[in-house]
Amino acid sequence: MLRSLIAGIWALLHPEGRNVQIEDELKSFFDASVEDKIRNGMSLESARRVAQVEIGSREAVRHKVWSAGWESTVDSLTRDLRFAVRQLRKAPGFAVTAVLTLALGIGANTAIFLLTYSLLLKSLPVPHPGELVRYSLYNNDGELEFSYPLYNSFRAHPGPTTGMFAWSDQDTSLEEGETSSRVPVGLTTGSVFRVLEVRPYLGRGFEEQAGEKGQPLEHEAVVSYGYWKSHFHGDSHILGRTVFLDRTEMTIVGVLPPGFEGISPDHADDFLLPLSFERVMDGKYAMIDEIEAFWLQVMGRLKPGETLQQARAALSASPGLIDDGSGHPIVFGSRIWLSAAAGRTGESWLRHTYTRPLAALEALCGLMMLLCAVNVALVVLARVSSRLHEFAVRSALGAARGRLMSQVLMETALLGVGGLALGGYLGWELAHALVAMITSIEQPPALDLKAGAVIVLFTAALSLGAAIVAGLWPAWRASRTAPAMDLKQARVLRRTGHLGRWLIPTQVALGMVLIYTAVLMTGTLRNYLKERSGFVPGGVTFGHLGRQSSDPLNQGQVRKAFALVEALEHQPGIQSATLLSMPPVRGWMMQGRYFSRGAEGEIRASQRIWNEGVTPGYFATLGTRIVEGRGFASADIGGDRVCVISRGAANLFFPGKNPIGQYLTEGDGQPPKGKAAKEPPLTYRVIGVAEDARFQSLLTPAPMNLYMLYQQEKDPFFPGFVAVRSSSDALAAEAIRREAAQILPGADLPQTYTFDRAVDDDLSQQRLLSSVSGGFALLALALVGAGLYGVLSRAVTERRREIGIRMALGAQRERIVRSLARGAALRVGVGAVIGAGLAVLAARLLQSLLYGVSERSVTLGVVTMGILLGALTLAFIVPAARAASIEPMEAIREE
Amino acid sequence: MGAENGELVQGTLEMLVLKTLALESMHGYGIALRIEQISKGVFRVNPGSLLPALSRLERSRRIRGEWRASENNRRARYYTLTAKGRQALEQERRQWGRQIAAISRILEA
Repeated sequence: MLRSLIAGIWALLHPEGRNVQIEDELKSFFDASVEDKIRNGMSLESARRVAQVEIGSREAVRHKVWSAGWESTVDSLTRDLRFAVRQLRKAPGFAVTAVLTLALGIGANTAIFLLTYSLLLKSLPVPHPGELVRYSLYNNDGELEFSYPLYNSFRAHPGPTTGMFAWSDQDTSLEEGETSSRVPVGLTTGSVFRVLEVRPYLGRGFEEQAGEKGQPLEHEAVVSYGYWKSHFHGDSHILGRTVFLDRTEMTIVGVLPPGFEGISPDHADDFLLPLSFERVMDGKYAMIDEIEAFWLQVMGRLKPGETLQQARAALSASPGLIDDGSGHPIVFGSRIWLSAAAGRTGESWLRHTYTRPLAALEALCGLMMLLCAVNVALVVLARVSSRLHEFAVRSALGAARGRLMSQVLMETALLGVGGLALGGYLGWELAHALVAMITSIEQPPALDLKAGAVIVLFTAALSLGAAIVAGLWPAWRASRTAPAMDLKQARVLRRTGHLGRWLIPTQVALGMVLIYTAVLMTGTLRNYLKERSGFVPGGVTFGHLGRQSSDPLNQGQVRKAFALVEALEHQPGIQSATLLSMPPVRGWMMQGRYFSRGAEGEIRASQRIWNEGVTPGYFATLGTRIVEGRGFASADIGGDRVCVISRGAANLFFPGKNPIGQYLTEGDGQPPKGKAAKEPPLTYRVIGVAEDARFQSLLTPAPMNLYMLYQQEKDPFFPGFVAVRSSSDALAAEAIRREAAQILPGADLPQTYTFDRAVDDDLSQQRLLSSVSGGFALLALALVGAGLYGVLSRAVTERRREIGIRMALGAQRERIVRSLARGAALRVGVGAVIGAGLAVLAARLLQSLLYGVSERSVTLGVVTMGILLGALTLAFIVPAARAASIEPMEAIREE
Repeated sequence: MGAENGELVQGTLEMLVLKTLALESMHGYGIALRIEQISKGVFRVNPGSLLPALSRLERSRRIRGEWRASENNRRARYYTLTAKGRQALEQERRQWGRQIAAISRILEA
């Protein structure tokens, strides 16, 4: 074994010595053979001839002896490699085209896979992540998070798990001297360390019961490894130091292990804090005791040997797990139930939004890669065809078939390596651009992309696969070259060889699917943007107001907010301004209960009314139209409580009646019980009806709105947002910050963003889909066009003589072009028919991502065909013109 | 590869070479000639298969090759069986015997 290795390496290092030895031995064999034959009575001449025939091709014998050792494989591979490099250097245009084509495909795939992996596939960096279970609550509207009281009663029934923990990702302020900044934190119960088996890098985690009900708030924090390194410079005396979070002193008791930054791939936490810290953050309005405040992720770890099925069975076996004894808890008027899912990858909000789009994009990427590989196959095939003569000669000289194949494959493999390097880089850049596109306004892109082994393997495997797909057929063609083939025959074979007979239709079909998808996605995005949303986003800037005092009910602070909006209204360039409790299209939800009483005393109630606190400039600022009655005026402030309701709310509360002048009351119309009975319910007179506005998101139907005036409320909450309509976004943002700094000194400066940016964010899923699929479509157009162009121009070059002869025999130029067109049209036609079928199929799979476009839209199908035919026509014109301009006499005389 | 008169059974060439060399050292052509003579012309071995086989055997140290002057004073590479080669021959011969017996039993059954 070792000797063979040494001998092999020696042979590799001294190829000449080895060759001389084989040569010598052959010569001695030959001599002995000749001598023997002479002894048997042959003449010298014939003995030499016969011996020569017996031995055959010396080159072939030499090659066979050489291949007896393993080193020959290495040797022939390096030889192929060197040869391939030389060949590619001789044809830089070909090499660059092929590498670029592969790189685009590989880049797109790498980017999308990087995203998919980071968001959907990567395991939490904890021991045995496969044992983790994620619990969720459902009601009729879909998935909910847990509220703390529900989690608390649920954790008493751990089922087949060793325990559970509750978690919420939040942002809080970190005060350092005079400055304060926002930091992402994970609020969690102490059990997280035991359940996830997270061992702190330094110090300790929280106690098991930390953060739970009945515990006093532990003023303890665990810092992430990354934050410890970057912010505390990896100080080993960090334990016992204190930080101020939301003006509260917290002692650092531990450092998390490297890599673990919480349970969401898109929210890397700098600190872990006890769950009960939420009381500090939200003061009197803390969610932690509210059964209807859904803000917690709950996970558990299965006992060894237990399965997810058992966890699910345990849930359904005792339906009353989160019950207080009265059946299912009723939350927002509907029943809720529990479910369990695999928790290997943790939990992420982004994941809910992007699972389906990413799956769709992965599928498109696969098609894209195939298209790229087919294109490269076309160029490689063209090259092989033009080198058939060379292959014939080499085969005649004794080259084995396998060697010819391996040489072509080596060339494509080399192209693949080029594609891998360039594509990997492109993919990395593209993935970061896409992350910036999908993460929201407030956070910097938080999805952490890491080029792990999985990504590298994926990309390498993809490149290899693409190289094989692109190279296999051309390689096989090359290996079939008959040794006896001379130049002319090679030329004949070239012409009759089925060059592009299937590749062009394949390309056209793939191209159609990609283009049609892009047309549908772009149509969807356009529909969302074009449709009347109830807002006029252009020109609106929002500011997220910081508070001076942690108590949102501090009325001095609220009055300053009123002063702020008034000051803003008088700034130059600002047309109107308003305060608002919640900004539109940010995905938030607000629900309150109101009822109306009809003429006969019948009650119409709804608990799904979005009550928005505003100031009189609201409708002018956001561009929401008043369709009946009037909007708010400053004069309303001193008078009775008034409200404006949305069209939908008007239809619900006052069907068939004029809503103006009617009354709406807080509550569900039942006589109030308990504490609430002491205060009479608030009643509002309707003064106007506004158009429906898609408050939650442009993607969801408009809720029923009730707008009320901040200034009329008794002790209102501090308004969270200010909005202004102005002629310049930059000016508006500047004015908001400047006025806030003056009027609300000491509070965090408002973060500002434009309404357009919020819309972009809201539609980021659609934008991602339409821009990526649009990019693919453009690429597909270029590839399909280039493919057809390549095939046609090769055909024209090769058939130059034939075309010349036909012209000399009287064929019109027009006829030549027509015959060329017929051939092209046939292939394109076949591809288009297959492509149309595939496109409709693909569109059906994407149906849930579409809006306002039918997946079998004829118009859009025609648009797709038009785009494709346009590109194909462009690709046809040049070769056709060349064919038509062939001079018969010149073409014939050439050979 | 094989011969015009008969294909060598796969993998037997090396055994035949070892057997030929068991009697005396020989050069390449001598081996080819001896195999042809003993098989009464059934097997003809050409250098395209003999030389690679010799190379493999030498690589695995079953035979040893050295350049010597031949009987009529030409330079030729003579191959000698090594102890390891003798062992290998014995083993292959036994295995071959077992296989032949088994094949005959099947054919006669």
